[in-house]
Formats: sequence, C-alpha cells, structure tokens
Amino acid sequence: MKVSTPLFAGLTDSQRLFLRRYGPIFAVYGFIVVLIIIGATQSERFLTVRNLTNVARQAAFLGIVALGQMLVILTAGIDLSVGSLVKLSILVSAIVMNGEVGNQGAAIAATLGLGLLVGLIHGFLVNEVKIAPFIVTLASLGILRGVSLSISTSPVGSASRPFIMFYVQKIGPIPVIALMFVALLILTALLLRYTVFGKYLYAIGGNVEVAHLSGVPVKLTRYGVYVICSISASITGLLWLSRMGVGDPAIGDGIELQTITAVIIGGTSLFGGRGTVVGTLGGVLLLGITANLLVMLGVNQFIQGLIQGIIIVAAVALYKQEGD
Amino acid sequence: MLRKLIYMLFILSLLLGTSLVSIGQDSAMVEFEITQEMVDASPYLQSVIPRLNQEYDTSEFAKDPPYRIALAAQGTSNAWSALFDAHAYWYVEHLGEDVVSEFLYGDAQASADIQVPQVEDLLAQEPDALILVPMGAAALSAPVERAMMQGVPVVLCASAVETDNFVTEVGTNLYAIGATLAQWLIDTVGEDGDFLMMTGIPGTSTSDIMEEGALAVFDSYGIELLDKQAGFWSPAEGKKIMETWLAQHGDEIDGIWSGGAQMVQGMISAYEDAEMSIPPIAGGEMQNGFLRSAIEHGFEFYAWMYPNAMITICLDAVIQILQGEPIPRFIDFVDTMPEARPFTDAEAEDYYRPRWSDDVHGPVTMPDEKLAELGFLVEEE
Repeated sequence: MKVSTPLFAGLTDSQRLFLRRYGPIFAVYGFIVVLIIIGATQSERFLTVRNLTNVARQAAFLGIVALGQMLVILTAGIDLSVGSLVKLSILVSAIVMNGEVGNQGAAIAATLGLGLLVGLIHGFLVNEVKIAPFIVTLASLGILRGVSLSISTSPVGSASRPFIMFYVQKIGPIPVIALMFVALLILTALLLRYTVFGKYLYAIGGNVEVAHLSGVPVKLTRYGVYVICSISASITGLLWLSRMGVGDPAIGDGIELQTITAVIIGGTSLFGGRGTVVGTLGGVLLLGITANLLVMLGVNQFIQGLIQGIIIVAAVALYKQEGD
Repeated sequence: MLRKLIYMLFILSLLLGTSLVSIGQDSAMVEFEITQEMVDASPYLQSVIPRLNQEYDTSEFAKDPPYRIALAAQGTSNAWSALFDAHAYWYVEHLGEDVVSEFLYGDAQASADIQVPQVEDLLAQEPDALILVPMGAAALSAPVERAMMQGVPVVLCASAVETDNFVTEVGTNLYAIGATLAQWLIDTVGEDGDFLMMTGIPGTSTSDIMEEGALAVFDSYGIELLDKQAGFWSPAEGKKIMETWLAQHGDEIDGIWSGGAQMVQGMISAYEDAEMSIPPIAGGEMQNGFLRSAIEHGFEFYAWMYPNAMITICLDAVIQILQGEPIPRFIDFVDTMPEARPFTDAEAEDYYRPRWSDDVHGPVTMPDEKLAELGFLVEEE
C-alpha cells in the first residue's frame, strides 16, 4: 500500500520519486544557502575572497578523507582509523622530509606507502579473517594512535620550505589545495558513475550476498575501497604537514567522526548501497561553513557542537522520510 | 622591575658561566643555579633570554583607533580559561568602543586541531591584531608566521610557540618557575628525599617547559624520582594517580612536585581518603579551592601564580603595538602585577578569599560585581 505523506501530497509519482531521491540533498544545499545569507548579512567580511578561499581550503582537509570514508560506507563498511592514520602520516612525512627539499619525494612516497599498507591490512582482516569493519578499524584507531605516540609525544621532524609554501599557493584567487579537492571530487564522481568498480560498490552495499552470487569480486573491491580510504587519510596528513610545518602528534584526533558526520549529512546510508559525491560535498561544505560562520559570529565551540548535532538529527530525519 | 633587574643580572652572570637566580620574597625566597649547560639544553631559555632585552619596532602596524582585535583563546574548557575569557570581555568593554570597535573570538576547546583552522578563520576577517593562546607550541608556529606575513601583529598570551616570528609574548619564565618549585622541595625535604612529579598536559608549552626546569634541578642534585606522571591539570586525574602512588609507595613519599593546583586538590583528597599526613607539595597556586583545602589540612606548600587576568596585559600590549609604540619582546606579567608572586603556606590565609568560589584563580582584576554576575562569588555565611 502506498502512503502519501503530507510533504508529498498532490505530486505525481515521478515528482515524488525525484523528491524522495534528491529532496534531502536539496535541503542540505538549501541550508547552506541560508547560512551564506546569514553570514553575508551578519558580517561584511563573510563574502570576501579571503574568507571564501579560506573556507574552500579548510573544506579540502575534511573533504578528501570524507570522500574515502564515503566509498567505504557505500560498501556497508566503516573506517574509524582515519584520524589516527592522519596523525601517523604527519609524523612519518615530517620525519622523512626533515626540512630538506631533496627528501620531499621520499616523504610523499613513504606516507602514501603507509596509507597503502594500512588499507591492505584493513582489507585483509575484513575479507580473509572475516572481522567486522567496525572492529578492525576501531582496533586500528588504537594501534595507529599508539604507534604515533610511541614515535613521539612532542613535535618531530619538519617540512621543507617549498612544502610549507604549498599551503598558501593559489591559481588565480583559488588555493591549490582547494583545486586538488575539486579534482578528487570529479574523479570520485566519475569513478562511481562510469566505472564497473563504482557499480560494484553500490552492489556490495545493497546486498553483499546477491552481489557475490552475481559475480561481483567482493574481496577485491573491498581491498580497493579500504586502500583508497587510507590513502586519502595519508594525503590529508601531508596537507597538515604543509599547514603546520612540523610533525605534531596532537593533530588528528576526532577526524573519523567528522568524516562520518559529513558523509551522513550528505545522504550516504550507514548500511551501504546509497550515496553520492554531491551529497558528501554538501555535508563537508555545511560543516565547514557552519564552523566558519560561528567563529565569525563569536559563538562558543560548545554551541557549535550543539548545532552540528542538530544538523545530523535533521539530516537523518530527512533521509528517513525518504526511506518511508 | 625587581624581576627585570634579576634577569639582567642573570644574563650578565651567564656570560661568566653560571647564574644564581632568586625568585620570590620573604618566606617564599628560593635560590637556584642555572648553568650554561641548562641554557644549552633548553631551546626555551635560548629563546626567552635574548628577548628580555629586545624591543620590537611596531611603527609598521601603527593605525588610528578604533581597532578590530582577534583573540584565539583556549576556550571555556576549565575555570582558569573561563575567567581568562571573562577578563578579556570585561577589559574590552572597559576600554570602550572608541578603542576596540570589534572583538573577534575563537574558542579552541583546548585543542590544537580546532585552533589551527580557527586562527585561519579569524585571519580571514582581517583583524588589526591577533592575540593567541597557543594550544600547541609546534602546531601553531606556522599559523603565527602566516599571520605576521599577512601583516597582522601577533601577541602570544600565556603560552609559547616554536617560531620567533611574532611581536611579543606575555607570560613568565616558566623554566624558572618549574626549577624554583623543585629547588624549594629539595631545600625543604633535603637532597635524600624521595620525590614524585605530576605534570600538566604533555605537549603544551606551559607544562613541558615547567617540567624541563624542574628536571634540570633534580638532575643537578642527582635525584632519581620515584615516578613521574601526567595529571592533565585535572583534580580527578590527580586523585587517581595519587591513589596509585599511595598504594605503591605509601610512607616513602617525602615530597611532591605538581604542575598545577587543580591536581594538588586531587592529591589532598587521596591523602584524606588514605588517612595519611600530606608531605610538602611544591606546585600550589592562588586557586581558592586549593587554598581552602591547604588551610584545612595544614601542610607545607610552595605556590606560584599564573593569573588569567594576564589577558588584560595582552590587550594593553596590542593597543601599544597598534599605536606604533616600541614594545618589549617578552613581557613578564609580574612587572605589571607585582601581587602575582610566589608564596608559601605561611601566607595561605592572606591569599584565601572566603567569598570566591573554589574554582577562582587569582589575582582577579575584574570588579566583584562582574565576578558575581559570572557566578564566581558565593554568599557570605
């Protein structure tokens, strides 16, 4: 029996379907527009080029890991270790680079290699040892954090001067880091829409048994998403090194929850099989603009946490409406 | 000024190889030696000592008031920082809108993770100056350099960064404070005593530098500590660790070095539960809850001060910079607040304020009405 909620009353079936599928994402972007209007009316500096490029660059830090997280969640998995991996990546890259331009290549390779290794281990434990992704990555969160703090509890290593300057580099008015994020967004969107690998992710998240019986290489695909997610965390570690210039083990705690929040707000189902890059971008931008605006308005961080919590509940309520 | 004179003598005597530092007055007078080896081993001393005699030419930042000032603060994560913020808002109001037209505020929740992007958000608003309470000496170094590159003068308040590229720092010589506490403990108990050490939050410069100074003094006497743990400036953590220490070492404990009074409150509670007498403790502060407990239990202590009211000095420094007046590169708050000097249990009654709530850190420069408004005053019995 079809039930018409008041929200969809008076609409044709195709309109209802469209709204159910995309309505919540429109709502997220609608909320972003509301925030922008509030920002523009409350602070004359909100819509300046300096602030907008600042928001774009900050969005890249959360967004790059959120894209990796989204791919994992699409397969009904989760990666709780990304924050600890960011922390370890900062330390490894800073130690290997040690302030020398000549070490940049080795530092980048070592950091991305670390991401690759961690992703493969996650894939192995999920695929071959059959441990739930939540448990595997929860353990990994603790292990990677422990390894980081065993290396050092105080700042170590350093970035080379050109690597530090990379953080402020721009093409026109747009920071290179923001452009990097845009490139990764496009790549991920293309991956999901036009490649077989992308279709496999949705199939595994929708029903892993059916996907397996249909000939989807479940294990290989899972190896792929965990590796991509871990490498995205390592890239973010490299960006943090560029941002700070030193390897500081204080950084990285809590990033996993921020990425999961952004992905959920963006409409990706925690049970897998449903989610879009546009939605995740919306989640990242919503969190980024909220944080920026609340600082501009001088609002206490605890209130920021409260507002983020309300946004999550509102977003989940919207998607629940979709699922009804 | 007395402190400045002592530092100048200290610098002069460093040229001769070693230096005798005297801190405190009357009952709280402690003397210890800072050797050239200690200076060589401490990047903090190497950074602070030259800056004691330097001035920054601020003419490039001169502009007409009113000013837009940004404060990247620790945030309301504990009573110390809550009063720090309250002092800031009160003092900005006191200065008036013709001096400060806009006060931009960032609450880091005591996290470098949050503070780094927050500083970027504040700088995006193009303030005339930035006051920073760094939540990580290393993590905040590059953001400070970027602020200076943007032409925004930076005043460090209550904590340090690793770069030297800022205008001035308001604080006190934390190395000397840590060393003084250790020296007082040795003077009180004797070189043969068995000591324990509880530090604040590892990674913050305030905690790490005090620890560095204390360990240098303990090492100079060849003292091996029974144990050293981080108590995270928390009474609960302080009590938990002290309970373990009492179970492990019991009567062996001759004295305790603490990086903050909040942790001492936890220690006192653990001793109370164990029904044991409290040994001498170096590391009290003018914190009302600590003073009340210390008076009740009557043990020997040495206290120092780290007033949250120092934000008023930081704001004055910013105004001075924006008026283009030269400014010292290190401002010791004791020069402006002479009452913020170390004291011992002999003066506990003088510093205890019956009307303040337990979590108030003194000295306070706000009027009582403001403290009452914020809920920091209790009804008189």
